[in-house]
Amino acid sequence: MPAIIPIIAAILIVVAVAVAAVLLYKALSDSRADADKCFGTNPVGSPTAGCPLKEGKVTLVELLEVVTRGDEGVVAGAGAASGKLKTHTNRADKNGAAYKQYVNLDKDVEGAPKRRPEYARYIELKARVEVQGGLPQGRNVKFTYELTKGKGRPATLTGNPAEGFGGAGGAADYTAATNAEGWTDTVKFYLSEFAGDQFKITAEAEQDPGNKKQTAAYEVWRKFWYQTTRAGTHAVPAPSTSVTAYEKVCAEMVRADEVTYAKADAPPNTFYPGWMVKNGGGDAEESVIGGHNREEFYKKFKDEADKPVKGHLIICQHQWDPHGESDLLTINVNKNPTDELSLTLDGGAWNAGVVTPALSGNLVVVGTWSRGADSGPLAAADIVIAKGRSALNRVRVKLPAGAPDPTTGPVTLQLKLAYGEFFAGESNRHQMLIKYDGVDKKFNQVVSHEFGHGFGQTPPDGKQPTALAKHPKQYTGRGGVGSHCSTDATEVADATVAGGKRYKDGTCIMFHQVNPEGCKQVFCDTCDPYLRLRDFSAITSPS
Amino acid sequence: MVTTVEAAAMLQKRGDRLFEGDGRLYSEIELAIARTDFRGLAIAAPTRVQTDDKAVVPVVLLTQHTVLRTWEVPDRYNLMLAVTDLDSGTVRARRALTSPKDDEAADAAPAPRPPKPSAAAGAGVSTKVRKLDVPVAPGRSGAIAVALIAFDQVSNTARIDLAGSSAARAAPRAISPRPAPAQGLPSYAPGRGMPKAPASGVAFTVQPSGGAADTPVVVHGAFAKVAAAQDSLPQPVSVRDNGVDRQASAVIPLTIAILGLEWKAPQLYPLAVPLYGAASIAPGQPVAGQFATGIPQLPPGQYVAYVFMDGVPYGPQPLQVK
Repeated sequence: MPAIIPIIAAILIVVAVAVAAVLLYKALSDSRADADKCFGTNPVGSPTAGCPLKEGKVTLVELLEVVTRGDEGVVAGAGAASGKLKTHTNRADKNGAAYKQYVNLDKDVEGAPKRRPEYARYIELKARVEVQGGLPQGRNVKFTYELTKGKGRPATLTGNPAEGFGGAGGAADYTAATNAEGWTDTVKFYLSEFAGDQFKITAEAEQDPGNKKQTAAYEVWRKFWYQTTRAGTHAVPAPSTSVTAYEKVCAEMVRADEVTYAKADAPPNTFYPGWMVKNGGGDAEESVIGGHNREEFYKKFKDEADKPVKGHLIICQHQWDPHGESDLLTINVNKNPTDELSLTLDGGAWNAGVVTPALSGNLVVVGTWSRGADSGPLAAADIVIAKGRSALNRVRVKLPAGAPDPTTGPVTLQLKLAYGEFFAGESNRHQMLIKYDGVDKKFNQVVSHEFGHGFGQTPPDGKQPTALAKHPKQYTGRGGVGSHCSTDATEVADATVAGGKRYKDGTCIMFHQVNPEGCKQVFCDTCDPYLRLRDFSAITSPS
Repeated sequence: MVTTVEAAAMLQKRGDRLFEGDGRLYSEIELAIARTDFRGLAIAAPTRVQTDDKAVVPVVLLTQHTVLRTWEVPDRYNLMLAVTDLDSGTVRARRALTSPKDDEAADAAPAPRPPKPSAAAGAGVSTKVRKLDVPVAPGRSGAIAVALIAFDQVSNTARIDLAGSSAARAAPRAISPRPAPAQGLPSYAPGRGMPKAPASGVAFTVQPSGGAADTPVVVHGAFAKVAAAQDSLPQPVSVRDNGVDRQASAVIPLTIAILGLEWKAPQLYPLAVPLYGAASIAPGQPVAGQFATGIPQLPPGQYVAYVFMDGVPYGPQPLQVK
């Protein structure tokens, strides 16, 4: 009996080895068959698909917008929050149901730790699957987008201005494989450059058809800021009509900190009594900004890294520039003080005047009195500029002690004075010198207009975005300097204009002339797409 | 009275310093001119300018007017700079005193003209010397003529040789506009209404139509000059002018200029006038010709007309359109 036991044990061992061999053979055969099946559709080296080693029920559980701020986290709002990833930020800026994407700004304007997902052309997304009865790795998820075209989007928008996955003008879809935790890699979707276009992103797992996850809409916007700098005594309204005009073309015009200044903080020759710089003006001192002091006001611009596209609205009551020296006036006088003398300024320019003190330099360039062999100098103190003068180029002279009495015989004066010229305003890239004289409509049109120039409006032929044809209402040389829009304008004969024709009564913000009653305070329908497809990444010189 | 030519000579005698834009020198000249009875405008320019380095020609302008005249016809809005390419005869003209800010962000209510100065103030005299930079094409060679016009007053003409490395030549001359083959305007043949040609220069008349709006203003003119090499045609050209077949042996470029007060530029009507006759014309030979042409009707107003030949504006002829 004891002799049988080793024999039975040996038999059992042989059987066990045989069964194990059979099982091992089956497993290897199944595995090879599975690998062969996958190899046909997923060649070696495919980055987007692994070979699932296990079957199972695949469920797409989430589609997220993400941002990397040190580590990757969720951007809640257009996409959902996650149970797996912490939330870094919530999107707040919306236009209706759509989330604004400010395509003209860099995501890292405030540094990588504060990366702004709502800035720049692209958004980043990822999806996750769960698998019951199998491993989550290697499951394919397809990303697509749904476009709702913005108003006036060109029929053909291709190349860089167009949308796509992976890059501007990129692919219409993208398939990503999941990793061991079921996450796809992070997918970049580039919105178009056309403001008002809306995009919803959809994800769908290959093995979970019909179970789509979709974000809310992202809408293409641009954002820029304005800083108002004004005298503390000069009440200036917010340019609310301008803000609305830019909203209509999906550009957000945001108020930055206002800067006010007192006379003591202002450079010399910034304040003059109103009557001295405008006929009929009052006694109160008013701000006068221009070539003599503008550089100091430029310095009041606050350069803020988080507001990289910012215009500086330097508001003045009068925009004057020093302009040189008057003609030499030679005249005989017979009163002391004299009657009004009329100086010829810049060949008789009507927008010129003499103020004291001069905007810059000495008021008197040449000043003499003479009678016979007697002569003497005239100084600034001898030049009388008084309230009530009939025009801004008029002065009187009070002869100094030692000069002869002109009532006893004429005295010859020779006079050449420094003078200035006044204008409606000026722009130098982001520095905009705007005159506000209490007419809000005019103020708003000027603000909108100058920013419009800064953003390349109205583009002459050849300078428009490539997807757009020549702007049919664009003109130069029908009034004004630079390129403007003639919507609703009437062309009239005007021999005073080079070319003999001039536009009048245009209603677009980009009409060449401030037209407070006629301007509709919007960019016209013709201009609209040119603004929507414009890069607002910098404020440039006027077109 | 000091003439324009004499005033121009007073400028030119200052030499090359004049063109450096020295304000103190200009004040000195103004004080000197103010002692004279000169009234009008005069210019000075270098006789030769190298254009490879700097493509501008400095022109110094002297104006002296009564204060009343500066109010009535302000140079700021009336002074026209006319530059003639002496190779082609092409005239370009625009306001001489411009500022890029004048029209930008144009205000709804531009500054009004100041009130007329009193008689005493208007009797004062305004004197100004200023430098103008006349742009030319970089490297340009050849010659230009520069003149300034302030509505009904005209400066002397300065001729400037341009010394540049570019040897662009004017295109061969062609008659323009072509004469009416049957009857009418334009015509370059002797005929009724043509003034007598002066010994040198251009004489002309301007007749407002007084008819329908599309009836042209008629300009009759006659001229005499010394032929330049570029005036001659390589071979005579046949042309039918008011029913007569003629041979043209040379073509003289002229430009009619019409100006109104405070225009931004004159209206220019270039003519290329044939000299009839089969005989070839040699450079230096005295020649004479005539023209009768129509220009578009003008709205009612007061205008002046000039005719440019070889860079010199002849005129003005007043033109009243009612």
